[in-house]
Amino acid sequence: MDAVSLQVMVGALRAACDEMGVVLVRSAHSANVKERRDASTALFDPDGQMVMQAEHIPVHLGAMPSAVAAVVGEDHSSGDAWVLNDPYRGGTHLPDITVISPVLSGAELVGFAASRAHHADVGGATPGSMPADSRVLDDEGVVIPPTRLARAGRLDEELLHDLTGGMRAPAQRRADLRAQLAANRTGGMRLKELAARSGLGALGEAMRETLDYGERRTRARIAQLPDGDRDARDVLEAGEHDLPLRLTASVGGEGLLLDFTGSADQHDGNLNCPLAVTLSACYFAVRVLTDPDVPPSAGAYRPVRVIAPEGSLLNARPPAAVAAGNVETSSRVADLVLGAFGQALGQGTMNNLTLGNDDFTYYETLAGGQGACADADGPSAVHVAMSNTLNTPIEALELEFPLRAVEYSVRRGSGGAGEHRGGNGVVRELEALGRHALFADHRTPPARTSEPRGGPGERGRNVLNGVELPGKVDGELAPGDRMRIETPGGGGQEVDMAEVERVERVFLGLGIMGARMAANLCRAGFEVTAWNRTRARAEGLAEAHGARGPRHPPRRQATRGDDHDGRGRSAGRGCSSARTARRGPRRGRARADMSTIAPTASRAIADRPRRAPGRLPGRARDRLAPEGRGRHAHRHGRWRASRPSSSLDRCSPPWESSSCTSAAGATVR
Amino acid sequence: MVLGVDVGGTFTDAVLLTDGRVVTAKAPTTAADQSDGVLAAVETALERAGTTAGEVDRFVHGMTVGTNALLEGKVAATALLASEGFTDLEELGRQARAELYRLCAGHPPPLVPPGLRVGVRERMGPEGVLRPLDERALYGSIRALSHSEGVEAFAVCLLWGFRHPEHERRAAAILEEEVPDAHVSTSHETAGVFREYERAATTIVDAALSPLLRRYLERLGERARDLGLPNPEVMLSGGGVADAGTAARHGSWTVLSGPAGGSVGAARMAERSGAPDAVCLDMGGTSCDVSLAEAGSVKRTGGREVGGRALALPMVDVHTVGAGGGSVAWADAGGALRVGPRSAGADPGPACYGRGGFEPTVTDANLVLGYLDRGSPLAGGVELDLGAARRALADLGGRLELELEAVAAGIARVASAEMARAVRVVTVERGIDPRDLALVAFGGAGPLHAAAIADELGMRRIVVPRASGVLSALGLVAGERRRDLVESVLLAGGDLTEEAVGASVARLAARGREELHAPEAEVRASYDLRYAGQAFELTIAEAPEPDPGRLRRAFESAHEERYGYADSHADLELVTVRVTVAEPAADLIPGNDGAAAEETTRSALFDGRRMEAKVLGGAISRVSGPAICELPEATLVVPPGWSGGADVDGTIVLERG
Repeated sequence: MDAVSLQVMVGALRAACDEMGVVLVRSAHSANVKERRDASTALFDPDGQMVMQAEHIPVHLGAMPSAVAAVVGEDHSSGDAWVLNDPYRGGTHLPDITVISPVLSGAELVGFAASRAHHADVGGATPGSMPADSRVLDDEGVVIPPTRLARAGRLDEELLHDLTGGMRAPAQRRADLRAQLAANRTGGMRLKELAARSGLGALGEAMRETLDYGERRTRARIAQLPDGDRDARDVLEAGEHDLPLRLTASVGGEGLLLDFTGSADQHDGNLNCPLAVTLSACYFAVRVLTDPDVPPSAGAYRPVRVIAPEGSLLNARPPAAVAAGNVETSSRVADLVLGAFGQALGQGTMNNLTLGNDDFTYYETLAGGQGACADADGPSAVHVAMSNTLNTPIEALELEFPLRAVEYSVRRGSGGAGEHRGGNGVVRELEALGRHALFADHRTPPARTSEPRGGPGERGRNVLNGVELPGKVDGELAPGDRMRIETPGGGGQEVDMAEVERVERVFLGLGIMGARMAANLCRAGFEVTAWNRTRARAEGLAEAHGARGPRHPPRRQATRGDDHDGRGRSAGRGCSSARTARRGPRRGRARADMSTIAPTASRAIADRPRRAPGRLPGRARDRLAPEGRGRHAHRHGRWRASRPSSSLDRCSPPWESSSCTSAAGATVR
Repeated sequence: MVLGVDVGGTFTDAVLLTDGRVVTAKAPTTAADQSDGVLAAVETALERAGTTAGEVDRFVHGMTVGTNALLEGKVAATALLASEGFTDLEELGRQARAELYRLCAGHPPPLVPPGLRVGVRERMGPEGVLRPLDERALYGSIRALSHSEGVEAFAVCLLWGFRHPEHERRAAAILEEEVPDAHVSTSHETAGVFREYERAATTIVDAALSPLLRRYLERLGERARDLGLPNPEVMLSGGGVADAGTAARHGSWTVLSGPAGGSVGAARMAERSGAPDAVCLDMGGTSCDVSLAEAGSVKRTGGREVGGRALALPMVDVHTVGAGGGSVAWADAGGALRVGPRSAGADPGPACYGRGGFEPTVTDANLVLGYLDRGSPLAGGVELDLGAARRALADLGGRLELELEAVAAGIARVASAEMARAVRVVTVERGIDPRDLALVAFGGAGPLHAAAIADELGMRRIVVPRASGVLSALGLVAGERRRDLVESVLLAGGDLTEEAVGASVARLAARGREELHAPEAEVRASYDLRYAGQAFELTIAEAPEPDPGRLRRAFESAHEERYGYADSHADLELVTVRVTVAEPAADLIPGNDGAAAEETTRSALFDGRRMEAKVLGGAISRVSGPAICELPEATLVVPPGWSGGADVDGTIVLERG
C-alpha cells in the first residue's frame, strides 16, 4: 500500500472511531459517560486485532483488545452483540462494561466494533461499585461473562433486564448500554462502507497495513532510546503492609521489554490488576515516551513485551477483587514505567471520591499535580496518567446532589521543587447536607523511588471536619460534616546529569579557544570528538588527551576556510561552514555556537539573538556566549544562553564544569 | 453603497458594493494597528470604484484584534472578583489535561494572575442567598487592589450568579463607585449560563479584551470620520452585526468576528444560488474553517473553546483544521505521507513563492498538478516558481518512493481527506448527512479542493461564488443587526410551564430590543433542553411562548434523530433560554464585475492522467471538467465528471454528472 492510501485509510478508520465515540458520549444518560467521558470506542479486524481506537481515556488502551479476544472465536452473524465485564474474561473492573458487535458484509466477517463505558453502578456492597474492602470479585457487583446481548438485530430485552436488575439505577444502565449499541452500529456501518468502497480484500489489506504502520512508528522511536536496562521500584500502600512493585525495563534496538517480575503477589484486598489493566498502563507510558501521536492500534504496541507473573498483583487470578487495581494500581504502574525513563512522578493516584446513599451516587476522580518533564514544569490541577475525565462543575454538583461546595482551589506550593517544578494539586472541600456513605481513596508514594532528581510533591490529605484521616477512608458523613481533600502535587525535576553524560561533544576547529577548551574537557573525563582543518592539530589533541579524531570528517561541508591560526579570525566561522550551520542541527540535536569575542559583544549577541541573524555566526538560534575572551576564555566558564532553551541547559553543565570555552558544536541526543 | 472590510492574517480585504457592482481591494494587514491596513484597503477600493467616502452608507468591519490578543495573551491587566473559596476557577478549568500523551503540554496561562484574584465573602446557592454579601470587606479588597498598578478591568463571577445575580450587581455597583474608570464585566450579563468554569472563563476574557477593543474601535471610528465614512459596525462571533460602541463594551463578543463574516457570506451566497443547506468551507494559507448553513443562515453553537479558553457565547459553529495552501507535507516515521498541521505560512511560504521556503506544501502540489500556473491569482500576486515546487516535491518523493506527480497528487489527496474529516465533524458527527448538502468553497485555496472533498463525502453539488477570494469581506455586509441573549433557567417538572418560559423570553426580548434601539425587531427563541441527569443539552428552536408539550415533542424528535432513541418517561429539563433580537440585513446582491470571457488550455493531472484542461477566465457561463476556472482571487478546479455554469451573481454551481 502506498504512502498516500495508507494515510487516507488511517484517517478513515480514525474518523469512524471518533464518530462512534460521539454517538456514545452524546446518547448516554449517565454523567459518568456524558460529562466525564469515561468511555472508549474501537474497531478491530476479523482476527480481533485492534486497528483503531478513539482517544478518550488511556486506561482502556490495552484493555479493549482483551475484550474482543474473549469473543472472537464465537460464531457471529449480522446484528449480533456481546456484552461483558468479567475482569478475567476480557474486562478490567466491573463498572467498565464492554459491548462488542461483529461486523459482517454478507456472510463475511469484516471486523468488530466495540465500545466500553464506565457505568456509575453495577451493584455490589456500596454505591458506585468501588467498595473499599472487597475481598473477592463477587463483592464488587454483577459479573457478566461474555454473553450474547443481541442476536441478528434483536436485543435480548429479558437478559438486559436481568443484568441491570442487580444494579442501582437500572434504567440509566440500560440507557447507557443502548448508547453503546448505537455507537457500535455506527462503527459497523462505517466499516461496511469502507468495505463496499474498496472491496473486502482491500479493506483487509488496509487493516494489516494500518497495524504495520503503527508498529513502524513505535519502533522508530524506541530505536532512539538508549539500549540497556533500567530499574524502578515503588511500594503501594495497602493497609498494614506495603506491596512492592518492581520493574526492569530493557531497551534492545527497536524493542522494549517491561518485566514486573519481583512485584508483590496478588493480595486479599482489591488493588489487584488483571493483566489487561497492567497492559493499559504500560501502553500508556510507552506512548508518552515514544510517539504521542501514533494512531492507537495493536500494531503500535507490538514492539512492547510485558511480563507480569501470573498470580502477582499485576496479573491476578480469579476470584481476586480488582476494584482499585484499575484506578489506583494502574496509575502507579504507568508511573513506574515513566519513572524508569526519568520522568518525574505525578500525583500517582486518581483521588477517587464516592459519596452516596439510597437516593444518589456521586463519584468523581480529582485532578492533581503532574510531574515535571525534562524540559518543562508539570501542569497543575490536571488528571495525571491513566485518567483524563472532566470535573463535575460545582453548580452541577449542588443542583443534583445534597452537597455544598466550601472550597475548590489550586493547592499552592504542593508541587515539588526543581529547575522544572512539579504541578500543584487541588483542594476540594464538600459539606454534606444529608447522610452519606463516604469512600475516598488516594495514595501517594511516601518518597520518590526512582532516582530523585528534584523535590517530591506534597502528599495527598483527607481531612474530615479539620481532622486528618488516612489516605483511604470509608465511613459515613452526617449533615454538616465537611470533607476536605487536598490532592498530591507532582515531583520536580533537576537537570538530568545522566542525560548530560550522554551529550556527545564535537569540536569543530581547534583554535585559540578550541584547543584549550577541548583539552579541559578531556581532562574532566568527557569524551570529545575533535575536528580541525589542519588535521595534525586534531591528531595532536587526540594524542595528548585521548580525544577521538573525527569519525565523519566534515571536510566535504567545509566550504570556507576556518584555519584557527591565531590571526584573530572568528572561530564561529568555522562552525558556520559546517553542515549543521546551514540547516541547523539534526532533529533531537542542539548546537551550541560560541566565538572568541569580547564579553560585552558576546553579551550583546546573547541579548539580541534574532535581530541580525544572517550576520551572526552560523545563524544558530540557540547560542551560548562565553563571558571571556580569546586565549583567556577557557578560564572563565561562565555562559549566557541566547534564550531559555532546554537543549542548552543540557549541554552547558559540562562546559561549566570544565571551565573552558571555544568554538564548538555540541550535539545533544 | 456598502463597504465591508475584513482583516485576515496576511491581507486586509475591502469589498464595496455599488449599483450591482463589486469592487474589491487588498492591502497588507498591519499587525501593530489594524486600522492602518483597514484605511489603506478602503482608500484603494474607493479609488478603484471612482467614488468618495461620503457616498458610503454602511461600513461593516470584521477584525481579529480580540482573537490575536487572546491567542497571544496580550490583554489588559484584569482582576477577578469570585466567591470566596472559588477564585481559581479559571486556572482549574475542567481538570482535563491539554494533551493525553504529552504530559507537560499546558493549558494557556490564566489571564488573571493569582495576586489579582479576590475572594468575595458571599454565597448564593441554587435557591438563593446562603451567605449575605459582606460589603465592607469588598470595599476593603477593592481599595487594596486599586493600589496595584494598572488594573484596567474587573471580571465578577460569583457562584449561581446566572440565577441569582443580586450579589454580582451589587459588586459591580461598588466597583463603579470605587474605580469609575475601570471596565467591569459581570458573569450574569456576559454569559448568563449554568456551569461556573465556562461562565467565569468567558467573563474574564470579556473583561480582559474590552479595554483593548474600546481603544481600537475608538481610534478606527475617529479615522473613519476623518475620511468621511460612517461610524463602523462590527461583525460579532455569532454572525450578527453591532455598532462599534456595543462591540467595545463586550470584548468577548468579537473573538470569532473574522470567520463569522466568511460563514455568513457563504451561507447567503449559497441560498441565492438555490442551496440554502450547505457546508461552507474556507481554506486559506494556514488553516481551513468549516461551518454549516441551514435554510440560508449559519449554524451556531452556544459555546466552544478558542485558543484553549472556554467561551460560553453564541458563536458561528466553525470547526478549524490545520490544512491550508501553506501546509507542509512530510513523511512520518511509519512511512505515511502527512500534510500539516505545520504551515510554511506567508513567509517564507510555499517553495514556489521563491522566498526561501524549501519544504513542499499543498500549493506546490497544486502547481505541479497543473491546477495552478505561474500567473494564477493567489493572494498578493506572487509569481509562482514551478522549478522550486518540483524540487521540493522530488525530495519528499525520494523518501516515499513515489514519482513526482504521484507525490503531488498524494499531497492534494491527503489534504482533501483532512478537510473531508473536518466536514464530517460538523455534519456526520452531529447526525447530518452531508450528501444532502451543497459544498460552498471559498478562500484562496478552497475552490482548488472542493471537488475532491465533495467526492470523498459523496456530495453532488458545489457552489463557488465569484468573489470567493474575498467572501469574508462580502459576508460582513450581509450580517443582520442582532443581539443574542442567554439565560439559564433550570426549569423542570411542574416549574416548566408556558408562563415561566414565556416570561423569561419576554424579559430577554425587551432587553435586546432596548439595546438594539429597535422596538419592532424580530424575536426568535430557542431552548437548551435535556433529559434530567444528562450533561449536554440540545438546542431546539421554538416559538417565543412555547407550549411545554410541543417543546417536549420537538426535543424528542431531535434526540431521536441525533442519538437514535428518545425516552418519553424521562424528566425533561429546560436549562437555558436563548433569544435573538434581529433586524434583517439588506439583501446581498453582489452583481458582476463585468469581466470579458477568456479561454485557454493547459495540461493538468486528473486521477493520475495528464489531460488538456480548459482554462476559463473572466465571465464564465458554462463549464465542464476537465477545466480550471480562474476567478479574481481564487482558482476553481473542475475534474472530469463535474459540470455546471454561472448564475446571475456570477456564482459557479457545479453538479456531479
